[in-house]
Amino acid sequence: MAEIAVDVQNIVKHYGSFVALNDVSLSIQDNEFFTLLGPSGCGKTTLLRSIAGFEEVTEGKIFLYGEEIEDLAPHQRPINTVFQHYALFPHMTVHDNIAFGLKRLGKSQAEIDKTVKEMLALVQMEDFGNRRTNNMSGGQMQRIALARALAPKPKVLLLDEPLSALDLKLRQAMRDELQKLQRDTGITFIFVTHDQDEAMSMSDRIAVMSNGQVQQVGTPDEIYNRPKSRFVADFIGDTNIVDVTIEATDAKSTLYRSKGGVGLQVERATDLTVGAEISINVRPENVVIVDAGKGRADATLTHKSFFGRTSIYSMELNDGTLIKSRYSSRDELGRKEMAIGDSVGIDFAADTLAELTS
Amino acid sequence: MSAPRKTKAKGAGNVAHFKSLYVLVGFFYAFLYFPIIVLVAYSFNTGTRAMVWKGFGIDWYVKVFTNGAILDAAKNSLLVGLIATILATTIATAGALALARGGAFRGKGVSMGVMTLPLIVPEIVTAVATLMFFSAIGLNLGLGNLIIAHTVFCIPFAFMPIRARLEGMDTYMEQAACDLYATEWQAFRYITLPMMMPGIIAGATLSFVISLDDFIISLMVSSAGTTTLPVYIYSMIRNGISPEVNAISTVLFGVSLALVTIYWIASKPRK
Ligand SMILES: Nc1ncnc2c1ncn2[C@@H]1O[C@H](COP(=O)(O)OP(=O)(O)OP(=O)(O)O)[C@@H](O)[C@H]1O
Ligand SMILES: [Mg+2]
Repeated sequence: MAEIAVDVQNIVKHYGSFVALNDVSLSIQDNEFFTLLGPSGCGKTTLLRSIAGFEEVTEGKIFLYGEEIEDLAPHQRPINTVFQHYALFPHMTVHDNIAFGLKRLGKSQAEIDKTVKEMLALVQMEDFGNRRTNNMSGGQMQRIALARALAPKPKVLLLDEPLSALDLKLRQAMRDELQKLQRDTGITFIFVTHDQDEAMSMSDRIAVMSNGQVQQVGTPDEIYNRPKSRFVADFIGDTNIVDVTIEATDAKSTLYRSKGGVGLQVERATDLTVGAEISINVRPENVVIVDAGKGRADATLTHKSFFGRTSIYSMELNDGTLIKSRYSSRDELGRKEMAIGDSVGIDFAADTLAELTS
Repeated sequence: MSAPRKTKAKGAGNVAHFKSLYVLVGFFYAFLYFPIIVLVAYSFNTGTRAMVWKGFGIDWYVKVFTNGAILDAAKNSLLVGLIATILATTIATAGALALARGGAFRGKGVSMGVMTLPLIVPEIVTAVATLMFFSAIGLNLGLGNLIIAHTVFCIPFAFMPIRARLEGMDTYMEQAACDLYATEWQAFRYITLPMMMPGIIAGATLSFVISLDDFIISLMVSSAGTTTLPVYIYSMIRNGISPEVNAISTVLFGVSLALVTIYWIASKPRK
């Protein structure tokens, strides 16, 4: 098992009577690209600042490679941060910005110059050493901020929405660059974003947060395909959620019944007991439209939206529950035309269903 | 089809439309600067009568710079201005830092008001109060008295530009420094202080100009031997306006102008 880089244990953070972090525990592995994802105000920045040392936690412990750090001042923690608005020092050159941390650590001038050069090369800004940081473009400032934070070779790099100030094109290019930087340096990255695409495309693992709590931790695939709660399923991408009761279960299959009485037989066992009231989740791209009577349930086509690359079909089950199905344009080739009001059947592979227990 | 709606007259609401305003502005500048221009011009007059032009020359400047009494007064002014500026700027910097970076504390609003209150207290009131206070406690330090008085009234002038600069500065910079292994002192030394330097320079120049040009308080507090330049010029005028007064006034004006220019450049927000 890999070494644990940052171990957050039962962190609670109060601002007056407001609870910004409510019993957060996380184990972030060495050399991992770890992302904190959640809606605005859920406590991502607060958690990051607690790890960096800018916020004193009300309760709980933080370990950095086994060493307890929650009582250390920011400058005593071998952790660096890339701030959302870069916070480059305007009265210094790019070189001096990157050298700042190295100087404080008492490195020799020769070593500092060598490292600064390496860092500038790493972020492809070799020719910018003597420039001032004002009147640089957002992308350039971003790279300098990265170089400055990476130069002291921190054990962990924290990034608070570093891409949010960039335009779309640059943001997408920087995603790949960040991922590459993480792999090249081997430094553990903790990345904060409220953009699910960003999180999904870059991370080794994601912690989805809401209301000061961690909802679920997992790989992008687990988070997307195996959400454990309604919040996670709903927050990441488009989805179908149906409230159901477990009516029967055996070693090989489970029968879910919707509130309106529609039964869904799925050939998969469940850990839950008969009578449990849960929700089930199936992504629209996993819902297949078949002939009436041939699927797991019958439905009526109520709407079709064409988006170019994909189309979304909206259907109603017999109890009125809305189900969406997404087809890519390629899958649509040669499929027979369907009209609004047609009776159809819906189907999905048993393992694409996720049970949401909260 | 209905008639096209009448569009609003172009530039309506722009006062530049009223040509007579230009005239008014012209009068304003004339009243403001004409006397100064005349004073500067006549300081280069070679004649002995203040307002009768004889010819161009720097005779009176030579006179000024060889006049022991004027030089003594100038020395006093510079010394008082310099020391008062250093003290006032230091105190103002500390005050601005406490108010902008010291977090919330009781009486923050009041401190703020107290810091800038001297700006609206009539100078004559301050002058009389200072004089009475000094004689009440029997303080008699010669130039020291002047330095203390000047320091006190310079503080708000030094404070304003420094605070304005600090307000515009994000604490993110200091946090970034601490994140990069700087102790709080190093973050202050290498980040906060250099970044607030334009404000400090602006505050210092402003204090120096204010101290250099101060008349009422200096008149009250100064005694024989501690006369400042404005007080000395005033005493010269009582014996009639001589071209010497024009020359020394022009020098004072020139120095003030240079300092205000520095202030203006330093306090301009940098992009
Ligand atoms: N210094 C503070 N004093 C009081 N409340 C605070 C303070 N800092 C943050 N909060 C509150 O704590 C909650 C979490 O804030 P935080 O900045 O961690 O959110 P976030 O997840 O980073 O959101 P965003 O995506 O908008 O940056 C918010 O409701 C915020 O209002
Ligand atoms: Mg945030």
